[in-house]
Amino acid sequence: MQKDIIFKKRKSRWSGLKIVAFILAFIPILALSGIIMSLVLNSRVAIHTAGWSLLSDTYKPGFQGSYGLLGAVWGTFLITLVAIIIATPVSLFLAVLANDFSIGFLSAIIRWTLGVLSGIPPIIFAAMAPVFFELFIWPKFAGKGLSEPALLKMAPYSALPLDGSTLLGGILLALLIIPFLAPLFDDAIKNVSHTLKEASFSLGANRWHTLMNVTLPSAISGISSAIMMGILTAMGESVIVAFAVGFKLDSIPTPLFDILKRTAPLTTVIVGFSAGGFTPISNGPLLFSIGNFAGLMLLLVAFTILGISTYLQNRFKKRLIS
Amino acid sequence: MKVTSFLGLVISGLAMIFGCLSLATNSLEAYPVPILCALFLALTALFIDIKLSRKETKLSIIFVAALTLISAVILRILPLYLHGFNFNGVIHRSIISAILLIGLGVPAMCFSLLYLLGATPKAYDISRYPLLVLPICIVLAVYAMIIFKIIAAGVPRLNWALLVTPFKYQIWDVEVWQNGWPNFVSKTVQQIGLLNSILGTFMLMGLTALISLPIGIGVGIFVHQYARPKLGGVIRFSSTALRAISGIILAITALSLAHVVNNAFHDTFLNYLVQGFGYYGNGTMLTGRSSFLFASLFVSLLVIPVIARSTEEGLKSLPKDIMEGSLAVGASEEHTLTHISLPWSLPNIVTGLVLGCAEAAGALSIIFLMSGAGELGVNPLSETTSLAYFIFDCRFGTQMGDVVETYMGSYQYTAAFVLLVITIGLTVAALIMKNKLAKRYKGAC
Repeated sequence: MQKDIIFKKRKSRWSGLKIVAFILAFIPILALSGIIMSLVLNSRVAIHTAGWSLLSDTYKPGFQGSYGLLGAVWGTFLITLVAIIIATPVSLFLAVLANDFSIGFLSAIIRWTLGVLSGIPPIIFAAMAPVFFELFIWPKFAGKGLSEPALLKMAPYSALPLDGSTLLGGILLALLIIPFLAPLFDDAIKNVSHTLKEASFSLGANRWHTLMNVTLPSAISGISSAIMMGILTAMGESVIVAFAVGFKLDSIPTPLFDILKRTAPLTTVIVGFSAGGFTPISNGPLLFSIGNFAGLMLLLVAFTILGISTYLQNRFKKRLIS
Repeated sequence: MKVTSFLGLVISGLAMIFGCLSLATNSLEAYPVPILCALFLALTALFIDIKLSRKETKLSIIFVAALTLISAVILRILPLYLHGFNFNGVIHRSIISAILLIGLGVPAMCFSLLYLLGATPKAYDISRYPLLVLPICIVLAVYAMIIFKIIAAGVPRLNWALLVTPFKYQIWDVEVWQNGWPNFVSKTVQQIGLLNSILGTFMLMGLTALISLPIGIGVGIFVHQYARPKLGGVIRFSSTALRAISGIILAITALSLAHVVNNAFHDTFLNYLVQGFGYYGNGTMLTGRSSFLFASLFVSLLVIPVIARSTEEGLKSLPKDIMEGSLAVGASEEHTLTHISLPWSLPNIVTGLVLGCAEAAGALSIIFLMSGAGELGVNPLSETTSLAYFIFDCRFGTQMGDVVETYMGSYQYTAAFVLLVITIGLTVAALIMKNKLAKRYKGAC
């Protein structure tokens, strides 16, 4: 409070430093609006040519074909779901173990381990996709031990997960976001005020009951906003998905939750469309534009989630102050 | 009661171990059913024991026991390979037995641990550790497996020559005079190495740091010092959004921008500046897909928020007494900022910068649409390349029309190892700095 009073009295003048800081501070805003403008301008062609067929299920390019992106949207949903389902409990357990259930140096060890693991770039996990496939997906989900005739008798033999699937991508994404999610959970649990916990302890509750009935419910908004950030990270990741799922756009899988199929999400579909031969011209302006439209969809979803997360965080802060 | 609960502890521990092993191998299919039956017997014995000695009816234990029996029966009935429902795969039974063994072993271990330790409130807390620790152990084992795999597959191929030779694969014709006649002889330069990728990683890091450091500090200072709350909120939101939106969106924007520049300023220096250029072995100039300068402009959009946030944190953590002291002796606001606040938050800024550099070294999603194999040298105006992209190239090189996959495909784990050393080194440095900072705050306040 006192600081504000001091600065209100001497009203800050437009010094050189302030002007420089003012100009520099507008660069993020300019960059963001530039990105949005570029996406909107470049997706005009797609909207004009393909129209509503962009939101249909099937993808059949050609003259008056349909360029449905619904499969990619569903793929994004599925892979994010798998990653979050795997990552959330583990990160929550890590955060709990680092706070309330810590013994001795355990919390320091967990925090250091998470810090080191967060330095692993996504490409490392992506490069591990063949290894995971060989060690886990192929023996467990692709009938490794079956003989060729027995496999041929089965209906979906032709569609066995060959070297990539949504499940593989989801597992690798979960490994990427655990070191990102756990510190956020850690912060949310750490910020629960001590008085609440101590009141619970003084009433005779043990640590587990305090955790389940006091700490986690009062940290719930922090935890949910952390999960939102995790969803954003998992949704926007493209390198791991490129290695583990692939670039090819497909329609929605027939059993809706078929995670053993390659259902490429929006991010890699953007890569496949806008840079098929990895140059903007090679795929033609229409597909490049459809890639931009997919980017716009991704951006809208990201902004929605970011808005919800910011709202939750603000509520969290207000509750802490009151 | 000690005997039955100890029995339960041993058998549930066995169930958990076999469950974890079943995730890794297919060959343990004979054991889950007997283990589940034994678990059922142990839990029933524990239930009866509690009923007799403590006169309590623990319905939860008998519920888990019933589930154990049911799942043993299910496992006995299921065939070894499951398929159907048009599902895209043939699921091995071991994945189901692993889920059942872990899912039933954990509560059984919690119960037996609780009664082994005497069912006190403290024992209740301790009995919850298996639930918390087991998933963490599985995940940490997976991380350890990844790092072990990279070291095991990468280090044996690592040698000094690999680190100091650039990758090159160039063919051109040389005019040779033979018997008074010009004759064209094809000349091939073929080298295997990682030098340009490593140098490119550092070049990308350095340029990104150069671009993002002033902007990030400026944003941090403005948001903390000058901005009204609403404007500050907008700036903070947009810099958070830059990180939160997908890197691929930045990449596609960069691609459109490069495209626009290519159309409007074809064959001018500006176009070379964006596309990057280098000289082939015979002296012809080649343009690439994008230069280091252009790529690092977009990578720095990811790093600016990190530096801005850490600058803001550093400025916020300045003890009020110090600033008031400076104002009391008559220093202006600006003088206080440059001589007191910024030096105080310098370690924070450096931590943010180091984290940002680690980010830039691994930021592939932005640059993988605009990098090349880096055959034509590393300077700010040559084509972007980095270790992360090199690993990508080792898998997708043929699709992108270069020969890295053919000649260097087997070195991808070596490149991954070098990249891992760089990024983890930077991250550990940042962590150490952060811990030192935490100690300094304690001393100041």
